[in-house]
Amino acid sequence: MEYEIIRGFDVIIIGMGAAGLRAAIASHDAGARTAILTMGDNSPTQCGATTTAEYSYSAPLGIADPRDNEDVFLDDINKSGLSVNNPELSSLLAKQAGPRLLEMHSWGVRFDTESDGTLQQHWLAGHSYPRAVHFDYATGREMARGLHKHAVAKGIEVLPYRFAIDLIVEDRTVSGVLVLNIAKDRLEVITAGAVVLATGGASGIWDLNSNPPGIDGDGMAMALRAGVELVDMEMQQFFPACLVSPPSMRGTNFPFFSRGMLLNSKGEAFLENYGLREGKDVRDVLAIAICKEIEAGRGTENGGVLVDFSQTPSETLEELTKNSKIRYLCDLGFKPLEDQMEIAPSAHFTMGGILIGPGAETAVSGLYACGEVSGGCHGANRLAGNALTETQVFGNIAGAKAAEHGRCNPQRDSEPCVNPVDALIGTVFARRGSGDIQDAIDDAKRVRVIMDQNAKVIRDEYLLKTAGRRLADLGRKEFSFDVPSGNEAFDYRKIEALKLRNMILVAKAVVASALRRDETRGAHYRQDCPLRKGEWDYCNVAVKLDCASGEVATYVRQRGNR
Amino acid sequence: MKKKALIEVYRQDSKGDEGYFKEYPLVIDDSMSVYDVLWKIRSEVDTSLALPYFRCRKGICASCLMRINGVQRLACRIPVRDALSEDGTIRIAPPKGRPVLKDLVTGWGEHDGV
Ligand SMILES: Cc1cc2nc3c(=O)[nH]c(=O)nc-3n(C[C@H](O)[C@H](O)[C@H](O)COP(=O)(O)OP(=O)(O)OC[C@H]3O[C@@H](n4cnc5c(N)ncnc54)[C@H](O)[C@@H]3O)c2cc1C
Repeated sequence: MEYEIIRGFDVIIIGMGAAGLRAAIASHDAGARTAILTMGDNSPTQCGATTTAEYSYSAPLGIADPRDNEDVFLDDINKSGLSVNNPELSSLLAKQAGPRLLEMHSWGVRFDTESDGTLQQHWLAGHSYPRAVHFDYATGREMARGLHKHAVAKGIEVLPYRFAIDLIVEDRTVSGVLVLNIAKDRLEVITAGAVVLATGGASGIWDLNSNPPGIDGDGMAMALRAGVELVDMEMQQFFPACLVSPPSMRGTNFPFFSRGMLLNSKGEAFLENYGLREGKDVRDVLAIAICKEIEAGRGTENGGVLVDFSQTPSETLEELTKNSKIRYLCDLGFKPLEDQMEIAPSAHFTMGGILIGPGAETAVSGLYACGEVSGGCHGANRLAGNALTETQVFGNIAGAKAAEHGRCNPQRDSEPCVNPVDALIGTVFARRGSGDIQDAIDDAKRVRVIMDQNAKVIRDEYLLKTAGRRLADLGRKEFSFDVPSGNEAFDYRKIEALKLRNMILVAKAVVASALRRDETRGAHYRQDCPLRKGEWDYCNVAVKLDCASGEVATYVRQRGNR
Repeated sequence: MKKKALIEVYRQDSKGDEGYFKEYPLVIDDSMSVYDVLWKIRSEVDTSLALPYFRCRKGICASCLMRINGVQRLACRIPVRDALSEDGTIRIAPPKGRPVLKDLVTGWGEHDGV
């Protein structure tokens, strides 16, 4: 079958968010010929969730409060992780958060400073001290800009417009990746001695989600098919407040809710009824309370609750009017601070993901994972700001380790083994099913609706089993996609269609894990088992793919009390 | 408010080709953003229209920078009612200074990686 082979890289990084960029820099610095492959263009403006990240990078620098340090930070992570987090990974996160930030800053990534030039640090819920470092309410965009500039200046190659379809794996060793080059409408095989997955989370498998398009768990699906396990997939963070109306704004997250009051459709404040205080609580408990209020029939027609700023002090409002997102909403004709906006919790961040060790390594030789695609360092709930920190800490580790492996792996310039590549292409293209591209895009929407209806914030056995059945039905459908012929460049519908099998697989992993954990903990709320169970302490649900049946299977990993 | 509008969209097959405008008469809610109108066309009217896939949903990434009735704007940041000209048309072209790769998908010059 026809495909172009691109050779000569020691390390290929899949994904150009903050994790991929950092991994590429570390890999390059360790002497490896490195390329970043991304679905977006080659500019720093389309860098996944990173581009959209608003506010914060957490680092216990102790500037705003000298009592802060790595140990207190680790304590905070452990408190919110509720023993689901892997202490080894969390401790790396806590220890390396500061050094990675300062390095990035020295490369030209800007952060807001006090008048004396020191970095500004603000307090966010769940953190003992102010440790959020930020830039102009567009911290992620600034990180992408600065890291991209630094990477390109070093000569790191960016291969844009490439959708990674699958990893090429033989004898539990990775040797490259099969991609669709959307600019040429051609298949390519890019070979490398090591591959780093940095494709971001899986929030896009829910209909109401806060992420940019394309963050649908592709890397997790590729890893599963390569024989790597996922962990903690039941732990999905739902951001408490995303707009549900008007339809064109659905999913835009609205973090300002904490400056106002949340009201139900009767105009009553309700957080106190759930033992919560306005503006003080972490995301998991807030999302659950809001969803309970909506389920109890006190939500709006569009399935949300209202954010009211009428009691908010005028100085706060004045400050908010300067905010870039508030200005954006105003440009579009909304009055977000005067009208009561309708919000609901939406899929935001995937705590679970690819099972990695402290070197960001996976069970497949030469395959590494970092950033939101990996699981383990946050556990049952991720604290605000810790995701951007994760990208830098684990991007750096993954890049360095991959370079070490990739540079001395003789496989890198050899022919990709024809069999797995042909077999791979055969599983995706040129089959004779009844579905076409449009059917696949429609099914992808169905997956999102199933996840919203049956596997969102409030879960139980019945809902989850229904989700499982409906996903299994979708998964049985066969499609016929033509092998790309070179005639339909920039038809992004092809990517949307190719994502369907990934979405179904990852959705099944979430549902199976959520069924397995028959308790309530952190972000995972089971209304049929509403209490935390001691027997689940220090336990993780892992998912693997049974290649023969093509189905996911879960098992419980016990870490013991450390 | 629902409004009748004529959306004129720039089309170009590939890099270096001649471009042309294609017209799409639509009835649309005038509070939608111009970007959402383009997506509506691509999903419901003409699936061959190539659009940038990425969007940040907060008006900061500039992936949807376009010339709207001759003025360089972010398509996601301008509602139809502000974009409609007096005769009820909106003309949407790629931004100045960026090479067209296909239709409204633009690159970054020599280094666009294509
Ligand atoms: C609205 C919003 C606000 C946020 N605010 C904050 C915050 O203030 N602080 C914080 O810590 N965290 C925040 N987060 C979370 C944080 O932004 C992300 O967890 C983090 O940026 C993830 O980085 P990443 O590099 O792992 O993945 P991403 O930045 O998502 O990058 C993934 C990359 O992989 C590419 N990709 C995906 N699939 C494929 C494929 N199949 N083939 C090729 N390329 C592919 C994408 O194009 C992209 O380049 C926020 C998230 C959102 C959505």
